[in-house]
Amino acid sequence: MINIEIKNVTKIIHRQTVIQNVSASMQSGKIYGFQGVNGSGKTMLMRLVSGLIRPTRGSIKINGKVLGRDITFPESIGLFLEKPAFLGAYSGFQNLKMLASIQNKIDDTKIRDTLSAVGLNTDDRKKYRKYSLGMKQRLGIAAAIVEEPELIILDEPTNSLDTDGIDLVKTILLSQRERGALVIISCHDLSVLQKMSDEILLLESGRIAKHLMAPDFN
Amino acid sequence: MKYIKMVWFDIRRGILRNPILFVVPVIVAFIACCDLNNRIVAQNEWIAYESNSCETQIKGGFADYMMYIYGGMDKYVPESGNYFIFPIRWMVVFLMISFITLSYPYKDMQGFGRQILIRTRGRTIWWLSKCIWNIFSVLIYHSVIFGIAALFGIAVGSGITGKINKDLQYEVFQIAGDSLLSDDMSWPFVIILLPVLISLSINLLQMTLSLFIKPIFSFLIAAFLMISSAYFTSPYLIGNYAMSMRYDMVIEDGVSVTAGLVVAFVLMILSVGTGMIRFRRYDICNED
Repeated sequence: MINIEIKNVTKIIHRQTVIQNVSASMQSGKIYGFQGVNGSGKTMLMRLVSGLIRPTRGSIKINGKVLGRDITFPESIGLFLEKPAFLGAYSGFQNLKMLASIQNKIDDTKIRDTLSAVGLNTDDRKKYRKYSLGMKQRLGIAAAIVEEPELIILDEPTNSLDTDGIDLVKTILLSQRERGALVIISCHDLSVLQKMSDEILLLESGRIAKHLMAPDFN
Repeated sequence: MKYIKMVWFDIRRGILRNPILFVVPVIVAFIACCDLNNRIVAQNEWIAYESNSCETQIKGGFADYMMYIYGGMDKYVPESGNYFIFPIRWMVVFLMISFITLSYPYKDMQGFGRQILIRTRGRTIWWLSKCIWNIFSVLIYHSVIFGIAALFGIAVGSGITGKINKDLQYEVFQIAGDSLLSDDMSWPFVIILLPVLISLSINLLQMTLSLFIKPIFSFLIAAFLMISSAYFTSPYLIGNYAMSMRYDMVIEDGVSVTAGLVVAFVLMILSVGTGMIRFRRYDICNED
């Protein structure tokens, strides 16, 4: 179980306010969509929640612990932020195996099942550097969910995916929600988010312009 | 356990799968040693011509090759007719390793290393792992140079000793009259060790500075430090401690080797500590 409290968070980078007085609460078992145009603050907010950057003002609490003070990163997190980045000389399976070896929570079977779930060939020995954009995207999603973390953050996961791929992402996220994970997903396409999310935060110029609940999306 | 895994990842990706780290020092050392060999040959031809005999032929050894690579230059005294000439060979040795190790930590932070970082959940672990990677990189780089110099020493029949050839060093470095070099002088190991420690400290400093400014600017600062150290013989410019030619056992009013050891270790500790504090609050995000 995980809950996130974002309280009056502001982030200033190079004298530019990129996140402005944002507050929100998020709980396990829900999918939260961040929607907005490029530069609206979606990715920046995800960076803040993941612990990669610190708020200039305000605080983010995860299960009551202040991020950046009590904990450095969320204790159980899967992250797919910006461009997927893996080791080019290794296959997708090898990349995931390396990551999995850090916490030793899962075995090879789980890695193969996850690769299959995202639509990648589990026996494919192709090196990551030869992957297409869509395959790289899928591997990025796989890395975020493979260890079944409590918090999953996916930044524009449907980029470079076809319609089937987008449906696959939806299926994956719904199953993660059923598992009890808190999922945060961003997309500039509101219609895509409406299919997947329980709540949607519409971001404009670093602020939350609207906060929509599932029944009110339309 | 996570810490060991992170260090192993960095060693595997940043060293074992980085052939440049092994190839560049081979090339640098090989060219330098060949150059010294050519100078020895030319000098011997001149001696033979002058004396009409081959009895007083100069022969270089391991320590001579090391001196040629790490010696730097005699102290520069700005005066009429005495132009400052960059010690290119010496600068290439030190700046190459700075350049080779420049971008790895930054790229790692933006790429695969980010996935490792959130799984180990420790910024301090990440930073210390990078420091260890940096130290190993520098040690391997200079070890390769040592190895090439040793091979040349063996090839010319001198073996691996600390004994230097005073006449050769006078000829090569055009040393002024206040040199303390003497016949049958033997270098203590610290003479070879100190340039490596200085290289380590400069690299760690560069890596720490990269947390405050762009990596390329931190490299330029390191380069400026080396250039200014070549120009000014001063114990306050750390590059002087990386020039064997300027040690107090080689020239009068030279820099203290003991002080150099202290400076190197203090700078290393300060760099690691400062970086640790800075990285705890560092914003890990792309430039855009």
